[in-house]
Amino acid sequence: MYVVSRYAGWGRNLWACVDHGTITIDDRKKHMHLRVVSGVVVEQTSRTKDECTTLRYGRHRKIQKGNKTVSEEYFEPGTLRAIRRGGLWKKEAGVPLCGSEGTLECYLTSGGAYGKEIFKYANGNIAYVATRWKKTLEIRRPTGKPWIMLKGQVALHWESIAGRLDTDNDDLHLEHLMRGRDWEVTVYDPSGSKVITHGCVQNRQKQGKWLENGKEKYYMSGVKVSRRLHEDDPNKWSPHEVLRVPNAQLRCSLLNRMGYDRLLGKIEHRVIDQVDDGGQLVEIDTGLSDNAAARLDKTMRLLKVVCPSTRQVYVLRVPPETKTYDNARQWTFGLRAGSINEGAQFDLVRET
Amino acid sequence: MQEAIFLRTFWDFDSREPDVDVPFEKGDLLMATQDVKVRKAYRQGELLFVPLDTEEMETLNPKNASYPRWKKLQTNVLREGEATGHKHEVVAERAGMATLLAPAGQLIQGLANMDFVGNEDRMLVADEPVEVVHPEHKPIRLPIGVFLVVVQREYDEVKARRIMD
Repeated sequence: MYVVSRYAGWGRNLWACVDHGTITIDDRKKHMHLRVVSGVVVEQTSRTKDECTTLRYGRHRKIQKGNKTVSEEYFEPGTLRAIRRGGLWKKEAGVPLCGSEGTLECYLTSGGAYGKEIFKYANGNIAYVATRWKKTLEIRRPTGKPWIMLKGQVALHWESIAGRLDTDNDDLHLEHLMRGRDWEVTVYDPSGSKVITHGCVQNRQKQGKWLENGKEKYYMSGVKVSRRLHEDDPNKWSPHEVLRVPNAQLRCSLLNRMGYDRLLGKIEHRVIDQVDDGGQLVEIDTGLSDNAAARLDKTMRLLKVVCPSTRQVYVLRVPPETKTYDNARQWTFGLRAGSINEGAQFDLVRET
Repeated sequence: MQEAIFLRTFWDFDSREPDVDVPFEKGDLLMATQDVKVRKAYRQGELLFVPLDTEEMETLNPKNASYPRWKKLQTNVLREGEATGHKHEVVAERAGMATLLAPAGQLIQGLANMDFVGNEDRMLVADEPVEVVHPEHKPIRLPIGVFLVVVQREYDEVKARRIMD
């Protein structure tokens, strides 16, 4: 191991080789102590006014405040700081949750996956036991009464569930806790008997009727809509009106409800081009009267694209002179129509 | 002595003026850039990330411009969905390693083969590899570089407008 100093001034810098021994660095605010064996740092202790961190490579890292151990992490023997498999790898005390504090224990499976997380309040009540193999998560208040019920796959990782819960926000940002696309949530009031929030998420988007902080709300593919629109029969909707909705996300939601095939079945259309992933370039008759058609186009060319992440169908309007699916798609990226015809295009390295 | 000669030769070679004809004049290089038809890009939802080279950065944001073309944003939000409120956010591991710029209000000439830069388009300067996250779309990792972030557009009878989501 080499100890090197910089910025001390000409001729004052330090350069020393340490094979065995200890190094102590004293600062006004920090005291650091390193133990070196065969040129490798095996132990490192740094102490400030409030806390002391001890790091033993291949063994553990411990943070102490006063006489209390606040956090412990255990490492795999033979490694520097790889977290220990097949058992407890992290223990933290004084973690805040639901206006109280508690102890957190995290376990790793023998395969190295985040397997289990247990949170216990200071009064001994268990807040939650989250496991990799369970499809539900129940979080309780310090009083032992139910708080949040989640149905779906919970994501366990290095950041604890207690740390990811945004309790300052009414929304709680529960999407940060979930791994899957579809899940359901129920939040109870402090008495534990009254439901204040309940709803389903489909394809990572709020769907259907939601109760949010005691108020009923309605969602269509993540877009908040009126109750009337939610309960309306999509068979009665005019396809032309749906296609002229200016907001692409709302248009997509209405299309999802109505069904793309059903929409095309209701209007005169012609498929100009299509590709393997389900994308199409379609021309439809706008059904406008001659008077209206003086201002607006009588035919519309639509590009049906499928989102690679959500598999949702979006329909975008493209210029009437576009002839192929690829050209239409390239046009939506901002390329000039003339340049596209001359061969200009974007090669998408990654799409999500 | 041998080494000294080698070093001097190497040094001379490195610093000498080119005695052969340069294959392109400055203008030709610009033409060569414009002739590049296929260019790499990344996409997340309605956003397209186009990596820029030094010349393109100069085209979009000239150093000797009489007025500022871009203004720095104090946020990491690239775009927020109007209907859903879902955001495309830039996440860098260290603070200050990703900078977002928005058009300062003036018309900005677009890249070769592309239309003018829109008001909702952004420029992203990534000093380290960054991730763009969104609640619905999978995160996309971008390498170090400068990107023009283009919002996908739609045709309108009157004019092509940017997608509203």
